[in-house]
Amino acid sequence: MVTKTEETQLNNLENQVDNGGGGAWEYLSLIRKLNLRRSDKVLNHGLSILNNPKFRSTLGPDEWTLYEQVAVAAMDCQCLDVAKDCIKVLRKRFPESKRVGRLEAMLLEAKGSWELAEKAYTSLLEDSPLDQTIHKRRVAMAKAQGNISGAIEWLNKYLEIFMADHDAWRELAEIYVSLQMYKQAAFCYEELILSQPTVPLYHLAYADVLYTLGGLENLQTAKKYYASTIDLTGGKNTRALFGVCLCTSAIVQLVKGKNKEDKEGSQVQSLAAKVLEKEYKQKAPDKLPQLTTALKSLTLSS
Amino acid sequence: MGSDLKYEVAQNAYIKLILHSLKHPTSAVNAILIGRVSSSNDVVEITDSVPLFHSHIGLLPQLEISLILIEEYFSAKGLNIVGYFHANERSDEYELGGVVKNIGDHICRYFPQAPILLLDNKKLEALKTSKDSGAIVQLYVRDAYKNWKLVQSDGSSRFSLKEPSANLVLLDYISSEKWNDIVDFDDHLDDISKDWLNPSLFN
Amino acid sequence: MAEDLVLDTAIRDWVLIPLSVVMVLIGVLRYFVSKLLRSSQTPDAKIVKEGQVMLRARNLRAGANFIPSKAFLARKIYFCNEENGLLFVPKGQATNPQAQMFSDPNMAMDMMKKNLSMIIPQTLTFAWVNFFFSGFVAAKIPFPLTQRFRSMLQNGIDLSTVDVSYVSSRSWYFLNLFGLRGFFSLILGEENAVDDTQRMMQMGGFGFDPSKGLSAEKDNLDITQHDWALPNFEQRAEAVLRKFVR
Repeated sequence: MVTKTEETQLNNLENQVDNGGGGAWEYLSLIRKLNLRRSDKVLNHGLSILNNPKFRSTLGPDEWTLYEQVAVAAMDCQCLDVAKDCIKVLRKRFPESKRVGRLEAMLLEAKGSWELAEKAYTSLLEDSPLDQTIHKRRVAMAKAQGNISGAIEWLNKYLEIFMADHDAWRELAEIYVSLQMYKQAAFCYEELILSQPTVPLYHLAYADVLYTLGGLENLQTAKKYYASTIDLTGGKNTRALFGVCLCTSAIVQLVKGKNKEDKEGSQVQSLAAKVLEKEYKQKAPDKLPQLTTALKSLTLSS
Repeated sequence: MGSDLKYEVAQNAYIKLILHSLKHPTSAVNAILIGRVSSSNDVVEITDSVPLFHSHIGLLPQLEISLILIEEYFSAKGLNIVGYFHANERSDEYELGGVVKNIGDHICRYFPQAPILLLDNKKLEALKTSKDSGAIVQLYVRDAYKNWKLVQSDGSSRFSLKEPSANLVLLDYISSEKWNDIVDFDDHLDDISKDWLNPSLFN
Repeated sequence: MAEDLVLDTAIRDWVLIPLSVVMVLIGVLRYFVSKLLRSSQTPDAKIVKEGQVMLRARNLRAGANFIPSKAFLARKIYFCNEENGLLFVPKGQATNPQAQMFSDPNMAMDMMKKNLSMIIPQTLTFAWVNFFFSGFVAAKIPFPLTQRFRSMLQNGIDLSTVDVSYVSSRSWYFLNLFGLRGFFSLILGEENAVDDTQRMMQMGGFGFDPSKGLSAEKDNLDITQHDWALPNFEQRAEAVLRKFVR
């Protein structure tokens, strides 16, 4: 997760670097640290450093890290020649390295020779069966080939061992959502909430999934999770505010015919609506009329 | 069903769709098509489009909210939601996923002739070289059995661009990296001061 | 003793300083030797998995109140059931570390290497110090100390009349042995392998049994009560929103 300060720092650096103000190395290091995907920039600035032997030699052992970073970025940009050159340099320096082997396998993958890449990964895994990156590459490869069920299978296998890896859980959740397997996705989001109970993002996503599942119980639970998102974000999250309104109206519709045994005493919905109106009035006054009618139609149906 | 209904998309709507998918090349994106049935009752004129999401397309709440707000806005102008646009996550995938079909079905409940447009990545790639003036999307419509069927774009051409020069204009926009300015509903929900109508895009 | 002992400057030059220098050099040498000897450990899949299970179970316990009770109960059963729960360790299978050590020659080898790099140089230097420098009063600390420190500072001198602030050479050796840690981490980097004190703790704690950790975690999870925190959040959200509307 990228914090606000890191983001501004990154943007400042990016501006500076783009305008030729130097600091390219710091920029690339920051990207590496934050694990961001800015492949075109990395390729551009990384290459300019690598083509400058004087600067390159000041990096010391970090030079090789840079080669790796540029190689990966180049593969992402489909500049396979650049990637090939980088990997060749690395291979010369570290003839035995597994890490370079991984890069070579990735290059095969980028070329689209899936079978060769698969073979390479398998042999790498034989040597070090617990290499998380390779396991993840396999998932990505299955996904890239459109073999979604294969990707799910690999991911599940991976999670059997590394079950505390929340990034993997998140990926799995997103795949399940895209396949409309909402129950499974809900399970993944529960896992994510457990691992980081105070991240509002997971509460929100969980609520979204529950709402999509539908049914009275799920809707009520979803509403609670929208409420917790509101609490955790200090009321700043528009989606959660809308979510509360949607949930309430859907719940009311479901219990309309029956006895209103639990007339929900909470006023979250009306408050959320008010906050929404206020926010829109401040930030997007031209959208206010649609919002009011929309909110009204949501409460009217109740 | 008026099976021989034609679909005609306006330049601005078309450009918005493509730019939106270019802004998020690594994820699936979708959009809503806005328009009306022409007075002669045989052409669906798609006059505008609203980019929707680039994440969690399979989730309902954000879709419901956006549809309510969009419909509210355009019905005041006498326009309707008339279709759905989708671009797949992978560039070599030419299938309509389950989610896409469901959303399409949902829209068909309100506008029975609603098509689904699917971005044709091959044509998008070839755009620079081919000088093809045809639209770089594929048209899917529902047949009598409520199955989504691809309409081949040969000859009779049920789908056309209103302005034949649209691709040239689009290329111009692409080369000036205009896609960075596109705002979709995801962005709007993150920061409501961002306008999903993209009024300043074509200035 | 009324008057101070006068320490020969030759003692400083030939005992105190050489002793310290030798200790530092040996430390550095040991660092590199142990680096050479350290076998690249490939962690066992089972151990990694057990660690991850523990982590996840701990998360479940900590965040239990954030998920609906149905979801919590399902997970509790998944972790704790007596047939194939992740945290359940069958009685016979509880791996005895001692037995494991003998069954796995690699492990014994590792132990040997560790001990080699630690004990042999230590015995050697100790013998060396004893042989050459026994009985010297090597230094004097500039403040008085109570009798209790005698055994620490005057190891090897059996005179009860010498003031406690004098340090015998053997004690100086021990002081160096334990006191140079900070210095080593300075010159060899944080993660140096010369950390004797830590090493000793490891020795004590060796034979940590993961299955024990698992069953302890299971007991903890068994008694965890589920009290869903989310209903409270609705009120809290209301409070947050009220503040906004005003």
